[in-house]
Amino acid sequence: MDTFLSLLLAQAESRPNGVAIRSKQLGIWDVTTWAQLRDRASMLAQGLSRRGIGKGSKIGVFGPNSTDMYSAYAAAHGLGATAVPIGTSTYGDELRQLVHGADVEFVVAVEQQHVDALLECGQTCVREIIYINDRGMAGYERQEMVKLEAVLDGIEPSAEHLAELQGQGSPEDVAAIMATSGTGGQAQLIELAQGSLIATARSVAGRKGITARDDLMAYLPLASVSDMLFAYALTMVSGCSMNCPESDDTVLENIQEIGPSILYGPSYVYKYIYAHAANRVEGATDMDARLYNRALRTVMKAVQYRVAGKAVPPVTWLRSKVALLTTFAPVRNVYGLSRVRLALCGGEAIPPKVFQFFRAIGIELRETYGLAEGCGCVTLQADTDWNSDSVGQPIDGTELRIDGGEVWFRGPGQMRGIYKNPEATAERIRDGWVRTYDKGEIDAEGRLHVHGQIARMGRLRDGSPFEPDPAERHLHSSEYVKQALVVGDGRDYLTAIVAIDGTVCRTWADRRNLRYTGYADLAAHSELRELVRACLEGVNAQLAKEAGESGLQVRRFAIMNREFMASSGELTATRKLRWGVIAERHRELVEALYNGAMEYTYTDAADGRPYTLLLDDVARAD
Amino acid sequence: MADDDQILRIEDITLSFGGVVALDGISFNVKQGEICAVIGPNGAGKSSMLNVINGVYIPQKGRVIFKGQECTRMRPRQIAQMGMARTFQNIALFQGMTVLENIMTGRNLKIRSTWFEQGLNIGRARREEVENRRAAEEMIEFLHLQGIRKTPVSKLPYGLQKRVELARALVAEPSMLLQDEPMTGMNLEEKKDMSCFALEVNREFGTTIVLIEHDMSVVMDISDHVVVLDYGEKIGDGTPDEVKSNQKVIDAYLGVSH
Repeated sequence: MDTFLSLLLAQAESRPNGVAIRSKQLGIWDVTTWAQLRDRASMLAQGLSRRGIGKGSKIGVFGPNSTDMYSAYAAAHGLGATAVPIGTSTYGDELRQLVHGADVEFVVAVEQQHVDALLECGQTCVREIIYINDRGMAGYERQEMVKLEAVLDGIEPSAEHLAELQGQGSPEDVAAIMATSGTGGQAQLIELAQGSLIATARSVAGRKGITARDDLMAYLPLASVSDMLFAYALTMVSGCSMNCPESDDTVLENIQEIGPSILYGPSYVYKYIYAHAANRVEGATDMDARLYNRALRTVMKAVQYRVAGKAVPPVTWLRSKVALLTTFAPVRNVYGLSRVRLALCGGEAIPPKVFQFFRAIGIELRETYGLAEGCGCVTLQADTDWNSDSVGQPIDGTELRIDGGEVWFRGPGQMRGIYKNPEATAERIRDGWVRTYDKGEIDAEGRLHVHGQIARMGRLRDGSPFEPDPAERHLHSSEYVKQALVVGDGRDYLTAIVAIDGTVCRTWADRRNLRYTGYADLAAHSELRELVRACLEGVNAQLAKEAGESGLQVRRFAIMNREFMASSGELTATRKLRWGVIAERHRELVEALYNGAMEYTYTDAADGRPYTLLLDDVARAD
Repeated sequence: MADDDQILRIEDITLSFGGVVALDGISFNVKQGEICAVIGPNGAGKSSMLNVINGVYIPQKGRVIFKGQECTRMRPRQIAQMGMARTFQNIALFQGMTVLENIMTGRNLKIRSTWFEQGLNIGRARREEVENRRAAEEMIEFLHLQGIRKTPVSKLPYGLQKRVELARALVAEPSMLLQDEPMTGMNLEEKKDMSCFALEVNREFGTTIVLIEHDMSVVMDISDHVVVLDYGEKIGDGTPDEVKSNQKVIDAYLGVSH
């Protein structure tokens, strides 16, 4: 059985000069080969073990995606220690709870801001902070801090030490302690074994034959299980190269420079590219826009045949081929997607329109269903799945079971349990099956269909079942909508809180010569309200068509004065809405939506200013 | 206080344009490594003061002593070579050039190679280009400009242009930075960012900063030392707290601002 160390040694043996990690520093792609990665990991492992880190130690890894962070993973895993990835936007109470909850004793931090966050959050369990970049650290002479160079001082890479560690390693060693997404409330800390991550990554790699020739992007927050699986573990098992962007602002640009062949992203990434493309067309000349839209209609039509499971008629096929060649090959190139062999989409359900857009323009986008409890991937679509309603069949060795409408799974990728919490573990794992708290069903072909979190479902006051998911998913289909929260449990009807996409809506408004000063002002504009209303009318029509239930229609809506933000705790690290937090924080807004008010004034805690939101009915009163 | 502690000494400066006295016998000192704010109502002579310091205006009377050397009558370029950089009230960037190119121009004074070497990209020129690019890239990282490195400056919003201007000034590795109203026209968030950058620059590079500012709240938070001008005269000089409690200052400035 393999461990991450044995994988690293094997890769360094078979392709010492192959690229393991590219990381953009000071405008230049800095390359680390497999042999270099092995040597760095070896030195770091020796340095760490001199400081008393060994099997079972918990090492916080705090910083942006970079060679240093992934080397720290490799060193920690080599020692049989557990990595506790910390997202760069984590601070304060959240950071203290994570550090204490996982008993982190050592932290490898990139720079001053991370060290500051650790010193200021009030934690008391970290014994030593190893920092990498000493900019701004001059005044920080403290006992519990040491520069990485000092840790590595006088240490040489040692093959014997690695061989010795390899002998002690076991796939049962806990590779990571990570927080669950916690969209509903408190996140839990779960343990993932090295063997589980490796087995899951192998299944994913096996589906599309991912090899050392592939390139993938490592750009999601370290604290998300997706990064651990689809960047680190996938690179380790397949020997491909991972590419770390220069900063959060440059991800799209860096994707374009690298032209990855494998791309994993939460649905918001694909939505972003989709909206970005739509925005460019919105701002294009009439002639260009007309040509583009015509080509888009052609390829979308071809996809509709595929979705319906029919063969594409020859004429449509030919026309769509021409459109792909003339229009969408350049579009793919603009976004750096020309070389993509496999695009994977996880996180929240992707809007059908967005999914079909990517399939239509010739990108093999496949949905996955994953959660931290299952190493980030439980099911994966096949390339023949043209419809986004299912998330595909379970990956190798994994089984699914539906119990009372709830999805349970078991397999090599399941978590070890909740860290230091046997009661919670017993609640989550029963007879070897892990519960997901998601509602779903399995179709005749063994594909899973997920209908959303059970905790969010309920009943309207008249007793008819309420699910927010379908309405939210359709709302997300609109490029003008960035985020949406649908409420309705225990109420008479459904309402929606919508945050518009600032970039797209600005272009839209500029085209129409609307006057506004900023996001909040634009969001309160009457024309924009009509735009959102039109979106919601479309959503309602879709809902009526699908379910035939007029009960699940969105009756009223409010447009937020800003987007929901991770910094105010409203989003998770991978930008899922924390509906529990939002519903609690905006309780009065929800009340206002139901008591017929046409206006709602409140002081936004994010900037301490008052805002007036206009509330409205979806159906025009006439 | 030791004399060499003071990087800049302003001694009895008087400047007039025809009959208008812009500065009337102003003296103050700026200590090595501090952030000094020059504040005052409109027309108080703040920008004139800055222009005297970096040699754009030559005062009729008085001396400016920078790093122990009198520079009252030096050309701006000479003063810049001594390690003084500035940013302007109205953005003075090359609008058609990219962010990176603009920042690179800040290294102009560091170039020793001849135009002949530069034209052929040989010898010193090549070495310097690499060095300058590295310095520019480090500044881009420091001020978080990575995402717009190749964007023409004209396409950037005002706040970002200000930041690019700061980067260009800093890339010359000045020992003293003059900033003329760095935060005018910015929104609250941009102002916060800009103050953070000023503090970081001061702490990280040890750069002495002299800034002119309108926005009192910003100044009081980040400055070690505040000089208050009113109608060409100095009416206050001290720590932010001392200045805040100075009756003359309250009357002249704080009293009328909201």
